[in-house]
Order: sequence, then structure tokens, then C-alpha cells
Amino acid sequence: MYVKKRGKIFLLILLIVVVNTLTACSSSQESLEKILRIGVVGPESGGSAQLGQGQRKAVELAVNEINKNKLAGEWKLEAVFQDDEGNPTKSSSATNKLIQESKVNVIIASINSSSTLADMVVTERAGIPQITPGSTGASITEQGNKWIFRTAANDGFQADALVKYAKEDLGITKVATFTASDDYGQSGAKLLKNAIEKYGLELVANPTYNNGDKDFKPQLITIRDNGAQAIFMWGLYTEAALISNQSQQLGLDVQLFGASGMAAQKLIELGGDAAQGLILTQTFLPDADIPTVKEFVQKYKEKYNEDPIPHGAQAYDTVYIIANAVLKADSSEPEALRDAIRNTQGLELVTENPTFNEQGDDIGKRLLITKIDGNKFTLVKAVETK
Amino acid sequence: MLQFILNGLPIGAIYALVALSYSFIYAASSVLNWAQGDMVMFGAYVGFTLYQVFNLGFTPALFISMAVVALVGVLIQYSILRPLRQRKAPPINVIIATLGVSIIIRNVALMIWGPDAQLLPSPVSTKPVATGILNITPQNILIVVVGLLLMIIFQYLLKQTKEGKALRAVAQDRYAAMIMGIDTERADRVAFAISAALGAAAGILIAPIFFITFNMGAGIGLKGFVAAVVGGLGSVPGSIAGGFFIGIIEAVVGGQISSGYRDAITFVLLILVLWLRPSGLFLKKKGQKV
Repeated sequence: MYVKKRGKIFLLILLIVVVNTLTACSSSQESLEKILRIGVVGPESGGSAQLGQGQRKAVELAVNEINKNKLAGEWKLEAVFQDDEGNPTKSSSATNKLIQESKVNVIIASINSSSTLADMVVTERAGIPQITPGSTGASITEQGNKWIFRTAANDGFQADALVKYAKEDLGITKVATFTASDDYGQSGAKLLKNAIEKYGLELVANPTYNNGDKDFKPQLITIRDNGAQAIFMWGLYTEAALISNQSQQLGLDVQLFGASGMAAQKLIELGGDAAQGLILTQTFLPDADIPTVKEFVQKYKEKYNEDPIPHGAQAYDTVYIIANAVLKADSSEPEALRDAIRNTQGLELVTENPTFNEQGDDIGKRLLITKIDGNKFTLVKAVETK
Repeated sequence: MLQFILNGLPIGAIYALVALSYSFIYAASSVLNWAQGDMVMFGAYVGFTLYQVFNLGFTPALFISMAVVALVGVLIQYSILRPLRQRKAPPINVIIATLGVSIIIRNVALMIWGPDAQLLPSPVSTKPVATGILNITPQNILIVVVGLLLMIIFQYLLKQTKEGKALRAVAQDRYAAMIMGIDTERADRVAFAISAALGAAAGILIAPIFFITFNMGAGIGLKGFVAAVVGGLGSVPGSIAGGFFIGIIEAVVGGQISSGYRDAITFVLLILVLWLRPSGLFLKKKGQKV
């Protein structure tokens, strides 16, 4: 009995070994096909889960379309996903795993700027091109890193566009900045200050706050007493909503501006009345009257039954940029891919016409100045990032 | 300056409620309940759910939420404090255990209500009533008025009811009270229930202006504790005075110096008080409990 049982187990092991070898053979045969592996890192759980899942869905949609319609010629795209929970340490180890174990040829990573910065160290060392569809932090493309590209809108472009709009379209002259005291907020404060000086506006107050603060009245009173006509906020939506509410409670008569990091439905919900008319920049609005946008939204809705988020649109475009690069380079070699991505041109995508500058920023992007009107963001003006 | 003091009053009332809740438990059972801040959060969420799901108005939501959270308080006493007491655990163990409770409540809230901030609409307007240079919003008046009312009601219950008298007796001398036939366990439970209910009230009052997040209890709980210590832990008038004191100091420091240093200055103040007046700013000599 005992022996018999052992015999069975032996047979089972033998079977597993045989099957394994067979599949191994078939996969090595497959690798004769032209396959491009794309590693995707994003926060699929945790606080920014909505963004990471939006990225994943958009990437899957793009990969399926490209493979189905043979848009990358003989090349077949294959996406491998990793969750980084929005945590830089987990993000860099996920990137490492994708490169070492999954042998990916190119990386799409990540959403949170601090995660992207951590991933860049890994991809630069390994010499693998990386594109971030979600991180806007200006420092990402200021490192002299040859392997990083960005299809999100650089915070610098956004700050510039907002200040320019405030001056030229709204005739505002005295402004205040009110920014979070973290990386994101402080880099925003610097970029806003540059833009304010560039366009000759007067910065009358520049207080900061800590994330998690609840009472913004002291700073708002300072802003009011210095006679600002507009407040430029740089941070996340919860604080932005509180600032809007409290500025209304104090009876401030100012135009509020925000950063793309606040562009969430929750801002409108929490801000209520007080957030009406708040202006911020985005790269994508699902109901914009632009053919490529309409087509993308329709396909996305058919598959997932919901509206895509801006990060999704950028991730979708990113896959098309990669498909175009591998078609042009006809190689999965990292350097050939990188150069092909850098020379991307002539594509008409959802967030417009991607062109990368020396630093790796996409400067062919359309930047939308949007305003909260009712319970959604509406387009005020589209500007070019060039 | 007057505007800053006015802004400090509503948050001061909230701190006073939380400080009171620390004091009640401390007076009755000589332990600190670190989950007190999370009672504030839990109360706000329960109120939010009553409003959102059952369409209840502000007043019923306030009272039902206080009752629900009072039950949670009793549960904590029953499942944490009582068994530890029976095993003759030192107070520090109980305090650490309540820290565990705090983490559990926070994570349960995260599971139920998610990581996003939620909004509980105000029953009155949050727009300012025009008064020239000063701005007063009806919501802020509501917080101060309801806060003070609750403090008066609980003070009355403490002085006039049998439960309240038992609680005060236990606070003065637990052992003597026990000899006199007072059920000290029951007094503990009453203290936990009252404290939890006060926390819940603070949560619902503050929710329309600060939003509700699963970790809101940490900040409010800590400030409430500082207020209790500054005023005199275990003392009712001391806790109330301490709450308003901290609220106003914060508003003035935030406005006149820098909001970045607001918390730092509050805690420096705590250290100064502990150094100069160990029994609290508003108490004479050794604190008289409750």
C-alpha cells in the first residue's frame, strides 16, 4: 500500500516534469516570435488604488487593440503588472522583479512621483527605458537620466499655464500661493513662484500647510489681509476642499486655482458650493469634443462600463508610443527602443501629439484649463505645452 | 486678534469635550483610554451613515450616534479593562491595550468607510454672518452652543443621579467606595460610556467643517489629551478650561506666528505646564478628582 502510494507520487512528479519540459519547449518556441514585454508598475491597492487600476485597465485595452489589429507589425505586446501600493520601496522592488524575472523590455511606472523617482534608479542601472504616465513631479526629468520619459504633464508646464491664464484672461495681478509642505507642494510652490515672476504678477503671500491639517483660517486671513485676488493651491483634494470651504466661510473674494493632483470627483463633492469655479489643469476630459478622445472613451466604456481617468488616457497613449517605437526600431534592444521613443513623432493620440524633449518630457501634449461647474470639470481653454 | 480668538472657540469646544472624556475615565479608573480620539472619528462616521443611509436629521443622528458609540465604550471597558483588572494588571498594561483598541477601531473604520474623506453636511449654514470685520458662521456658533450644553447636561447628571454620585465616589477613593458597597465596575462602565458619547458628539459637531477620515482621531485625540493635562487631568472645570485654552492658543499662534509651528508651540506649552504646574493650570494644589 505504502509502496504503491509512493509509486503514484513518483508518477505524478514524472508527469509534472514532462509537462513542464513540454511547456518550456513551447515557450522557447514562442520566443522565436517577436514579443515585446512591457512591465507595468502602479498602485493597484492602497490610497491611490483608483489611479493604479485605471492605469492597468487602459494598458490592457491598448495592448489588446494593438495585438488584434497588428499595429506593431510582427511584434506582439505582452504586459506584466505589479502593484506598488504607492510605496516607493515596494515600487523599486517591483521594478527590479519585472526586469530580473519577467525580463521586460520596457517599463511603464509609476503614478506617485516618489515611486517613479525610486523606480528610475533601478531602470537606469539596468538600462531599460521607463515611461511614467502618471507622475507630474518636476524633479523626475531634472536628473539627467537618459532612460526616463514622461507622458504626464510636467508640473512646471501646468504652473506656467495657470499663471499665464490668470494674468492674460482674467486680468489678475496680486496673487497668493498656498501649498502643501511636502515634496509635491513645495516643488509646486517653486514652479508657481517662477511663473509668477515670469509673467510679472505680484506674489503677496505664500503660506504653507501640513497634509492632514484641518484649520486653514489663520493662513487664509493673512492672504485676505494682503489683498490677494487669487490663491494658487498645490496639494491634494481633501485639503483643497477644506481651503475652499474655509475661504468661503471667511468671506474671501478670490479666484481659486489648483494642481492636477486635486482633479478628482471627490474635490467637487467635498468642496460643494465653495469649490464652484475652481480652475485647474488636466490633460484629459472624458466629454471633450475631440475625435481621438471620443473614440477612446467609447472603447473604454464598452469594456469597463465606466469613464476613464486622465492617468488612464496617458497610460493608453504610452502603450501606443511603445508600439510605435518597437515598430520603428524593429528590435527589443533597450537602446534602440529608447532612441525610437525619443524620436516619436507624427502620432495622433488621445492626449494629442507626443513629442519628447531632451529631458524626456512630452511637449506635444494638449493641456486643458478646466473649471468646476456643477458636478463636473468643464473645459475653459486648451493650451499647448510647447 | 479678536477674529483669531473667535476662530479658536469652536475648536476649543471640541477639545474640551475630548478632554472631558479623558478626564472621566481617568478619574474613575486611573487609566487613560487612547482610543478616545477614535471615538470622535467613529461617532462622526456613525452620524454620517445615519444621515446618508437613513436620511436622519442632525439632532436624531447626534443622539443615536452618541448612544451607539457609548455602547462601544462599554464594550471596551467590558472586554479590555475588566479582564485586565481581574488579572491585577498594572495601569500601564491597560493603557497599552487601549492603544491596541485604537488601532483596531481605525482599521475597522477604514474597512467599512474606505480611505476617502467623507462629508457630513452642516444642519445650519457654513457661510459667514456678515458682522463687519469679524466673521462668525452659524456652524461655529452651533458647535460652541451644543458643546457647552452637553457639558452642562453631563455635569448635572454627575451631580444629581445615583450613577453620577457613584462615579464621583469612585473617583475620590475607589477602595473606600468599594467598601461602601458601590459597584466600581459599574462606575467604570458608566465612565467609559459617558466618555465615548462625549467623543461621538465632538465628532459629529466637527464633521461638517473638517470632513471625516479614518485617521482623524489621532490629531483630535492628542490635542484633547493635551488640553486635559494642561487644565488638570481628572477635573471637569479644568478640562473644559484646558480645551478652550488650547483651541484659542492654536488659533492665535497659527494666525500671528506661523501655522507651521502651531503644533510645536502647543506641545512646548504642554511641557511648560507639566514643569511649572504639574497638576494643571487651572487647579489649586493637588487635583480634586471630578
